[in-house]
Order: sequence, then structure tokens, then C-alpha cells
Amino acid sequence: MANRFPAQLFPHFYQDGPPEHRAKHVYDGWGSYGQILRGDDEPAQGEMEGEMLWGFKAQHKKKGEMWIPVEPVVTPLLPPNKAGKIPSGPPSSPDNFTEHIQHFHVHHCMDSFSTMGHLLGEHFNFHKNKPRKGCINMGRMKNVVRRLKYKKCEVRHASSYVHRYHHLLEDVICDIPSALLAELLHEELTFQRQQEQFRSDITGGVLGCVPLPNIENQNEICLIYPRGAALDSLNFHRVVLEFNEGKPNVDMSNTSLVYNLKGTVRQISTVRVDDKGLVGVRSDYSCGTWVIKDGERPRPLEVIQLKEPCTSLNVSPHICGEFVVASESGAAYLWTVGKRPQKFRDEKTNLYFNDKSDWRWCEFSAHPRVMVFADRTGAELTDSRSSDCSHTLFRIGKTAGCKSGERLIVSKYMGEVHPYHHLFTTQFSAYILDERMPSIPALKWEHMMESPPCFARVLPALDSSTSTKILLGAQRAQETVLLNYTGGCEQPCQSDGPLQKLYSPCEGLKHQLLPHKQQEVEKRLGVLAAGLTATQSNGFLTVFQFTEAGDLFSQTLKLHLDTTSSQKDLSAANCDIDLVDLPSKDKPAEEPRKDSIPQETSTVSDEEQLSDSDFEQELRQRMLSQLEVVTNDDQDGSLTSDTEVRISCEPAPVPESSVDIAQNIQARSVRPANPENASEELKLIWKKWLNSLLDLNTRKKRSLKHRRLKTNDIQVKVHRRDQLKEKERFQKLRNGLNDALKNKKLFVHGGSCLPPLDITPVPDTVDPSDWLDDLSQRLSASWAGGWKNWWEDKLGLNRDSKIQALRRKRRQEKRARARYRVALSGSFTSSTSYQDTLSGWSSSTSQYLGSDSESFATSQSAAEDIPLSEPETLPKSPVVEEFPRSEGTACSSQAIESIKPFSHTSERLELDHALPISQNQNQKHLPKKVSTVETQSVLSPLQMLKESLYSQQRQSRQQLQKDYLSSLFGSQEPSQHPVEVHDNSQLSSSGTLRMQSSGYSLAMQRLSQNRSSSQASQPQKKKSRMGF
Amino acid sequence: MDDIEAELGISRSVGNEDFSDSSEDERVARKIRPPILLHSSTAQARAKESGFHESSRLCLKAIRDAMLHHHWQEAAQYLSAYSQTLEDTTVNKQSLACEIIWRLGTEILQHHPNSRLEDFNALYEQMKNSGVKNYAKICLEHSFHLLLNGHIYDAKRQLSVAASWRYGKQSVPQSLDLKLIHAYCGFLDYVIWHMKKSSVSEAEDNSSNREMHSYFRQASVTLQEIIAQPGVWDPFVLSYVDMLEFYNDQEEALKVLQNYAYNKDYPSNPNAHVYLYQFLKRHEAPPAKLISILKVLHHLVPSHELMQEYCYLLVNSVVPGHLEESLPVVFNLLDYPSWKNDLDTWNCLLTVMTVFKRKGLQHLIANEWKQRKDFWLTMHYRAYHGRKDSELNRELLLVKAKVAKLLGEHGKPDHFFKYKLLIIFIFLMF
Repeated sequence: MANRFPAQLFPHFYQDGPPEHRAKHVYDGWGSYGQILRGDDEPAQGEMEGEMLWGFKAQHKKKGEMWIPVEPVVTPLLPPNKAGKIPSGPPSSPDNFTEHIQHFHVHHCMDSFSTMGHLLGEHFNFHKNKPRKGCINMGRMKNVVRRLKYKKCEVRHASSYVHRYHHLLEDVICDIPSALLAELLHEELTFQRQQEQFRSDITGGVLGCVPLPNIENQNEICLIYPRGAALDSLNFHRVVLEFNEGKPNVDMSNTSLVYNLKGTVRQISTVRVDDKGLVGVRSDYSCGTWVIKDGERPRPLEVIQLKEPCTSLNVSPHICGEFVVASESGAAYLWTVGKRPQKFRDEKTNLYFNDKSDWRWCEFSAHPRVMVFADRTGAELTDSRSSDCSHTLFRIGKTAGCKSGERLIVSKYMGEVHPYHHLFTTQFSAYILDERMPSIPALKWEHMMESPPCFARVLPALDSSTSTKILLGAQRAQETVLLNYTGGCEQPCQSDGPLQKLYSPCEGLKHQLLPHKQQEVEKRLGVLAAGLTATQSNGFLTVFQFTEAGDLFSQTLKLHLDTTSSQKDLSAANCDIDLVDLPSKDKPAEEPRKDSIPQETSTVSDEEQLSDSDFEQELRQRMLSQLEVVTNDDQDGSLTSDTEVRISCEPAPVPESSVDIAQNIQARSVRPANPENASEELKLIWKKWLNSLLDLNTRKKRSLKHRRLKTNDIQVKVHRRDQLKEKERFQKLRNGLNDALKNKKLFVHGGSCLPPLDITPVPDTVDPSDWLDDLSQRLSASWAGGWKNWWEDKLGLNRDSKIQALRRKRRQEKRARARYRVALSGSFTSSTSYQDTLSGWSSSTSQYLGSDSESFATSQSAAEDIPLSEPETLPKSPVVEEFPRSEGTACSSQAIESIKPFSHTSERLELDHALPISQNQNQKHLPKKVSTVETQSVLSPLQMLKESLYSQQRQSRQQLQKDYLSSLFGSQEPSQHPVEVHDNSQLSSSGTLRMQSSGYSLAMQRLSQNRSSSQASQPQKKKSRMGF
Repeated sequence: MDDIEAELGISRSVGNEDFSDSSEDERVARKIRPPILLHSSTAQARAKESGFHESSRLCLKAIRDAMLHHHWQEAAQYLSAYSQTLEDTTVNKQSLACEIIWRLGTEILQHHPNSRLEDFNALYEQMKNSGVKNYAKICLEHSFHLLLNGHIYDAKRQLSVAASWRYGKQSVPQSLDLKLIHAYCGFLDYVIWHMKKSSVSEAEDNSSNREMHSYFRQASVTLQEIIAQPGVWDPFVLSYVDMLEFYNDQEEALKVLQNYAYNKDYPSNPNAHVYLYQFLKRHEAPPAKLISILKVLHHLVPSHELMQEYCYLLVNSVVPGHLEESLPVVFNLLDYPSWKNDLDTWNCLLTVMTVFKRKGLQHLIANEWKQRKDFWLTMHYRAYHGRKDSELNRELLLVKAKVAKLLGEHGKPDHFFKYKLLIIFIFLMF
């Protein structure tokens, strides 16, 4: 059967030439049927809608076998590899070669300097205290060398003598010339960077699997994988696969058999031939073989050593003990165990075009003596019996529909599946080629992987109805893809359903970890994949994945079974939903709508249609991530009715698809989506694994030490006894504080045992009379608010007015004497005159008050009383005359504006004033001058302010004085009177406002008055009272 | 991805400027050589992308992940969002988005539980016209979809509409697609012709007969056209030959088949030779002719199942020299492990060997044996094989034993020692 060739092949163009098509995106694998072919079966039963149903088949079947992951994450099978490598940071740039050279010189000094060091050694003396003759003393150099062990201080000053020696010996001292070393290192680093992106040397993978014969119905396999820091110890591990109650279990409890090798394992190739399992292990320059016989321990057979790096080793599936080896130089050998490897091909260049790649690959083919020889440009079938018999099997070109830049990544003989089939993978596609019909791919997939797949594993179909499975694995991102296909013998190859991506270890379950641990775990899990293998039994497919860090993971997929059971399950699932699902309010509303869909004539695009109801469903689903599976069922449950409706209206052609749909539905209901939905046991396994990984990592940390300088001698020695005392005291204090807290008491200083605080005494009160110098007097005057007056006094500016006042006084005295009226006021003057020089003036005013308006004086409120009694205010009276005038012209509007906010208080003050003003008016019968003086005296604080405001007018003082005098003496002139009255009325409002604004200074004055000049005012009052 | 290629190309050519000592030709070659995309790093391209492009790229990634994990409904949601990309102002990206949406959209519809044929039609129609560059391809896929769902006439209509489509300058892949469209159009003509034929044969009706002929004419013209192109055209050749045979145009049919089999421009297709062989056999061609056809086939595919027939033809042939050729044929067949358990082949070998022995041509057997000795022993005559054959197919064991006996005359007798011992042991047991 296997020897049959398909009776008809899918149509295919055969074109020569290099590929032209450029890869624009990686989604070519979807939405295409490829080609189409008429099936063998004759037109189907009867007519349907006037159309015969023909059995057409597409190259890419859309509905196929469904494999559903049992768990949403992979399972770690082995404890983390203790010495597993994790790439530390990004690959170093080739330009950093200087750092590497430095490292080499410092840490491998014997390699870099030993020869020259020996030669020069006798001329240098490193002993500090023992100078030798004819030698250069290098005692100081010792220090420099000693410090190299430590992390270097960046700001260290460069020692000139080191530099001098460096310049002297730089060219001589290195065993390997620096220029050469640098060049080679740069080359190597460039190569390593390329390796970081894609490593061709691990093509084929380092994970092998040999099925062992079934004993007692136990499914046993032997896994072969390397471990250790350099992946250089080969493990043969017997693994038992159990499938209890549909739950697969991989039993790794057997201990593995370990062989320690001399080099890193690059590839493990396994095949079961007849009754033996054969294992080929490839390292860089050597290849070894092991044989696993039934019931026996794995046994090494033979090892060969090659001169050039070996790139491929494959075991013959036909003849026991035959291997093909390919090396970078382009030589290919047939190696039969026990015989010398026989070179059958030596290809110096690439096969079809110059790709400048050293990668060569060799595989067996259907004929035991014909080999596949491949490189990046294609593959040829070579007969090992004759030197010149070879023909193309596959080449990058138009025929295979390749894209420009496409290169062969790995080739695999699919002997266990089909004797004539070969699998070729490129960055974009996977090809199956039948060697009976070379160049034309029997089947082609766009695998849509992001990085090129370099591991492949093929699993045969278990019976004719199932499909063959191909697993492709890539290094980066550990991508693994499952492809299914059928046919190849009588039927042409057809891909079976869409490709499926399997879970990768880097998407593993991550418990809530601290960020730095999370990072560690991610780094560890995210290393390059290094191998892939799989085994199948009882409808389960177990995939093993191996990472470069030496960790082994597995995942199991379950074949999704027939529809009838799924229907049953579905109804069961539906019951569940009703219990678990959220408010099913919208369910009845949804169902009729769904039913109505088939009747609609759809003109809308599918996106719109798909997005409405499903979207809500999905959103709900997301929110209930725990119930995800169940909610899915709900939706599908409502859909089954839909499909049934359709089945009834479209009888013949759709049953298959409806079956598929039902299958699909069931599949989705089982398919786990969220890693969080993993089973508890698996979560536990992961937890343990992560813990042991983190343990390993914490133990492993090491880095260059910092150099420590001793600073003991710098520190001042502290006496121990003092320290003890201090400690005790703190303890006591703490206790006291605790007690206070407990009892909710105040913790006062007295209660503590702290040393008493220094009490700073309050300074004595200052008596201004003690300080008789100018400055002190001025200060005390300005404290009392009479700073200006003090200055005026001091500078003698008010001398004229004083003289005036004196004169007036004398005149009054004269007048009084003339009238013979001895008044009480006379006693006032005498009583006040003792005060000071000014008292004469003030007494004169009080005289006025007392004499002219005694009733007024007594009824005055205290506030007005003060300015009147204030001795210093009065000297300003000369300016009073000008005040009303300026008030009316310039200031009034501003002042009023500025004082508005105080209007209510000003009203009160106005009321206070109302009395004197009315009194003023009542007293009109009094001589005119008296009334004017009185108003002036009322306004005296205002004058103070005014004075400061209009100080610039002082230069015209003389003129003003004249005016004043004229007003005093010419006041009886009737022309002046109405103006005066008018001014006063104006003033009454604005003036009071003034007063109020200067309320603060008033208060101050009052205070000072209370303190210092109480003597002056009180006798005044007394005496005035005495007068009545 | 093409941007990166361009970038890589530039950097490569820039780098090459440094090699002053490399010859001019080599430098040119280096410039032309497309960079290998063994690994595609997209980080460079992402540096300058706009927010819109970034979000659409992320969306596409989400669709991809969902589809790769077969979460079709999730993918459908994302796709509805992704349709915004069609508004991209850059022409390149827009046409790319068209293609992506078409591909992803159809794939999702294939697996989405509530998709209907109308949805497919709507999607195909829309994408056909929005991404004009893919018109032919989408038409082809659309008709495939209709065909697979049993709508043969709709599919035929689609194809004939697409066949008459003209738009600007055709690109190479598009012209190939148009050729395929023509071919499938003809193929469907043939299918309809075939249906008519089976219905006509019952009722002799002139008008339907005429209709059938018109289908034949249409089909023959287009099929002839595609068959003239180098390629694998098994279904087209078969249908064309079928029609020619129906109208008794054997010569034309033979010409077509011979061209298909022997034209150097065509790939070596074993089926082409098989068709020719079957055709000649149907028309009772002389054995010499058949042998000549099978000789070519043997050269191409020594493991073909017709080789047994070839072998018998050679053995029975009267032409001198043919008998001698038969031995390598059957030996070659058994070189292939896939034939190693086939009783008929071993019988054939036994027959041929006995004939040779009878005719005194043992040196030829010795010659063939010498070439294969090293691997035949381990491949066919290990103790394990004897044990297994005794379990599964004792007849085979017998035949193999007889062959071994004949072969043993030519080699050292101890070659088969273990095997013989086993056989004796087995026969003693039963």
C-alpha cells in the first residue's frame, strides 16, 4: 500500500528560476484551499437543487482532526537543571572586544603572558626589601597586581610608572600579539551574535525518544537528553506514560542512566530499527552511537572523531548500525558501526547557488544506499554507491513557490510515516516532498512561525482514518506548531485542518512572584528551545520540549472524538450552565434572534455580523475567566439549535459541516484558554519547580568582591563604660515613655532622668530714663510714636511756633491779669507747666479748652480726649489751615475710596463726632477763632498723617505760617467765614475717616499715654472736674 | 518585512564598501544577493511606526495568537477591530491589509460556528474589489469554496466572470492565477460534459447532445491551453483524454499523453507514464511498446508498483536482451525497505531467479548479489526478520528462504547461516 503513488496529483505549475515573490506577511497559511481535485467517487446520490454533488477535495482541508491540549500550560518534568545556563543580558557587541581582551589578560594571565614572563622574569625583582643587582625593582608593581583582584575604583588615579612600563613592554609581553588576538576575538564575537539569533548547530534538537516494547500494557519510552552546565552529560531516562481515566501522566520516577561526554551535545537522533533502538549523538567534532536493546541498559557502540565541525548525524531507519554524517567542509560520510566511515560526497560549494553557508545536512531516503544531501539552497538525492549519481529532490526556487530569501532550515526523512516522503522546512513554509516525484512539493504549508523551525518530529497516523502529525519547533520563543495531513499513498496529500500552536515553556504558569524573581524565572524559561519530541498512544499526544538551560517540559493533547459523544456532553454541559451561569435573562432574547439569522439575506460583511452577539458573549466570558469554559458552552448550546435548523433546510450538502460544527463546538468547550485554569496538581508542580529554581539561583550568586580598606585607626575610640551608661539611660527613658503612654500621662522632663535643662533668665525691663544718649532717646520717642516730633525738636524746626506759643501765652496772661479774672485755668497752667518745654504750649490749648468749651471737654469720649491731651500733636496746628484745602482738592477722593471698607465703623465714629460738631454749631456764638482752633484740635491726628503725606509742601512753610497768622488774626473778616464753615463740613466726614484709619496709632498712643503721661492727663481731668 | 530586507541590503552594501581588495564582480554579486532571512528581527522597523500602526500591529498579533490556538470567536472580535487598517493611507499597507483580512477572515469563517455561505460570499466579493491585486486569487478561492459546498454552477459562473476580467498590467502571479482560472473553467466544463454524457446515454436527445458538444468544445480549448504549460496537470490531462477518447480521437489523446510524459520541460511525473501505459494497455498496444514506457518509468522510479508487471513483461518477452534486464528490476525493487515484506515481489524474484538459473545466467545473479550483499543481509536476512516473518507471514519466510538458498550459491555459505538455522528451527517446531 505504501508503495502506491497517488493516482492524481493536484495541479501545479512547473517553473524554472529563482523565486521572485517577496514575503510581505506571515499569514499566507490561512484562507486558502490551494488547489482542487475531483475525488474518485462518482457523483453523489441524486440531485440536489438541480446540481450534482461531486466529490471535490481541496489541497488544504479546512476541517480536520482536532487535538486539544489537556492543560493550558506545559508541565515541567524534571527539577530545574542545576547548572543550567541563562544568557546574562544581551549578547555582547563585537566592538567590546577590548573588554574581553582585558578579561583574558587579567584572569588568564598564565595563558597570555607566561612565555614572555619567563623570559623577562630574571630581569625583574618583585621583592620589596631585597634589591638584587642587575634587576629592575618592581616592588610597587606588586600592589598594582594585587588590586586587580577587586572591582576597580573608577576614579583611581593612573600610576605613571605603570604607564611607563606599559609603553615600554606593550608589544613584547603578550604571548599572542594583541592585534591578532583582537581580530580573532572580534570575529568570534560577531559569530556569537549571529548564533544568538539563530543557532544552526543545534538543528535537529537534543531531545530523543525511543519507544520501548510494551510490557504489561505499559507505555514506556526512553527519553534521551543532555544535562549539566554545558549539556554534556547524556541521560537515558525510562519514562512510563499512563493514561488513567483520560488523564495522562508522565512518570519520571525512574533514575536516569548518565554518560558524561567530552563535548556539548548538539544533536540527538534516534530511530527504532527492527528490535533495537539506535541513538546517534553529535557533538562539535565527534559523534557517538548508543544502542538500546529490549530489556537491556543502553550501551555505547562507537565514537568517531572528525577534523571539521560536524553539522549533521542521522541514524538509518533501514539498516541497523548505519549512520550518515555531514561536516561543515561539505563532506558526507556513511558510517557503519565497526567500519571506517565512507565518504560518498564532498561538496565544496553550495548546491544551487552561492549562499556562503557552511551548514550541511544528510539524511537517509527510501533506498538504503541513496542519501539526501542538503544545504541551505536545496537538497539532492545522492547514491552512495556511485560518485556521480545524484539528482535534485528539492530546491529553493519558483517551482516550490518559494519566496525570495527563503532558505532550507532542516530536512527530515519521514520513514516512519511514509517511505518516500521527506519534510523540508524553511523560514516560511514546510514542504513534504515525495522522492518519486522530486522538485514538486506534495504538500506545502505556510507554518506562520516567527522564527525558523529547526526541530521536526513526525508521528504516523494510527489508522487510515486519522491523520499524520508533524510537529515543528523553533528555537526562539520556543514556538511549536502542530500540522496534520492525510494521504500520500493512494490519495494525494491534503493538509488536515488549520495548524495549531502548542504551548511553550516560556508561557508557563507564573505564580505571584516578586518582580526580581519573576524576572529570573522569565529569563530561565525564555531561553532558546533545544529540542522537541513526541509520542502518541490511545488518542493522546504527548509532546516533550527541551530548553537550552537543560529543562524538560511536556504537554499532552487529546484527540477530539466523534460527534455523538460530544452531543451528549453538550447537553450535559448545558445543564451545568443553568446552574452556574449568570442571570440568564438575555438567553431567551438571544435564541430567537439566532434562529432568525438564517432567514436574513446577508449583505453585511461578516465582521459586522460576527461582532454583535458573540462580542457580548465573549466579553462576559472574559469577565468570568473562572467560568470561561462553561459560558462557552452556553453559547454553543444555543447554537446547536441553529445548526439543526440549517440541517433541516439544507439537507444533502451540509451534514458534514454541521458535524464539524458540532465537533468544533465541543472542541472549544474543552479547549482551555487561560493558564490560570490549570489543574491544581499542575499548579503545585509548577510551584515546586519554581521554588527549587529560585533556590538554585540564590545559592549561585557570585561576583567580584569590593576591595575593603580598614578605617579602624581613623575612628575615635569610644569608652565602653560610657557606652554602657548611655545605654542604661536610654533604657530608662524608654521605660518612662512607655509608662507615660500606658497611663496616658504627660511625660515631663522632671520625671525623666535626663540632666536638668539650662534656664536662661528673662532680661530686665529697660528704663528709658537710664539711657540718656541721643539714640536711646530717639528710640524711646519713636516707640512712643513721637519720632517726628523728636526730630523736629532736635533740629529746631518748631522753634518759631514755640516762640509764637510763648508769646501768645504771655499775651493771655497779660489779658487775664488785665481783666482780673483769676480762673482755675490759671492753676492748670501752673500745674502743667512743670512738665517740659512743650508743656507751655499744651497747657495753652487745655486752657483754651478749659476756658472756652468746658462742657465739651468733659463730654468727649476717651478716644478724642487723648489727642487733645496729647502734648505733641498740638505743635502741628500751623499746618491745620492748609489741610481742609488740600482735602477738598486732591486727597478726598482717594482717601474716601481707600477707606470705604471701614464705612460702618466710620459711621459710628461719625456719631461720636456728631456731638462735637453740633456743639460746634451751637457754639457759633463764640468767637470765630475759637471754633476754628477747636476743629483743628479735633483733627490733630489727621494732621499728623497729612503731614507725612504732604511733606514736600513744607518748604512753603513760611508762607503757610503767614497764612495761619492771617487766619488767626484776620478771622473776624466776614469774607473768610463761609469758606471756613464749608471746609469744616467737608472735613467732618473725611476727617473722621482719617481718624479711624489711624486708629491703630491712636491705640498705641493711648497705651504710651497710659504708661508715661498718665500724670499729665489725670490731674488735668481732676482739675477740670474740680472746676465744676 | 520587505523594509527590513531593504535595510539589510543597504547595510550590506555599505559594509561592502570597506572591502577594497574584493573584485568588482564579487562586490556586485554581494549586493545583488538577497539577505538571508533566517531570523526576522522586526525591532528596527518598529522604531518609527505611528500609534495607529502600532495598535493595528498589536491587534493583528492578537488575531494571530487566537487563531493559532484555535480560539476562533476571539479572533473574530479582533478582526472586526482590525478592519480599521483598511483606512491606512499608505497604499502598500492598505493592499497588504486587504490580503490579510481576506485570508484571516475566510479562515475564521471556516471555523466559526455560525458562519454561512452568504457570509463567505459577502466577504469574498468585498475583498475581491477592495484588493484588486488579489482579484484572480480570491476569485479562484471563492469558486473552490462554492465547489466544495456543491454549488458547481455557481462556481462555474464565478470562474467565467473572473476569466474575462481585465485590469491594468498583470503581474506574474496574477497571470498564473488567471491561467488556472481558465483551466478550472475548462475542467468544470468537462465535469458538466461528463454529467450530460451519463444522462444522454440513456435518452438519445439531439438538443442535449448538442449542448454536450458545446461543453466539450469549451473544455477542450481551455484544457489544451493549460496542458501546454509545463506543470503537473493530472486531472486536466485525464479529463481531456477522456473526452478525446469519447470522440474517438485516439491519436490526439496519445499525442497529449506522450507530450505530458516525455516533454523535457515538464517535471518527471510518474503519473504521466502511468497514464500513457494505461492508455496503451487499454488500446491493446504491443508489449514492446509497453516495455519501452515502463523502462523509462523504471529509470525514474525504480520502486514503482508497475515494476513487477514490467518484470513479468520482460521475462515473457521474446525480444533478446529483455530477460537480462528483468533481474535488476526486481532486485532494485527489493532494495527498497518498503517492499521487503511484499510476498509478490519475493515470488517475482524467485521466479526470475529460477528462470535465470534454468537458462544458465547465474553469473548475472552473482553480479547483482555482489552489489547488494552488504545491506541485503542486514536488511532482509537477520534472525529478527526470520522470527518476525514466521509470526506474520510464513509463506514469505519460505519464499525468502528459497531465494536465500539460490543466493547462497554465490556467496559464502555462512552468510545465511543464522537465518537458515532459524528456519530449520521454525520448521522443526511446526
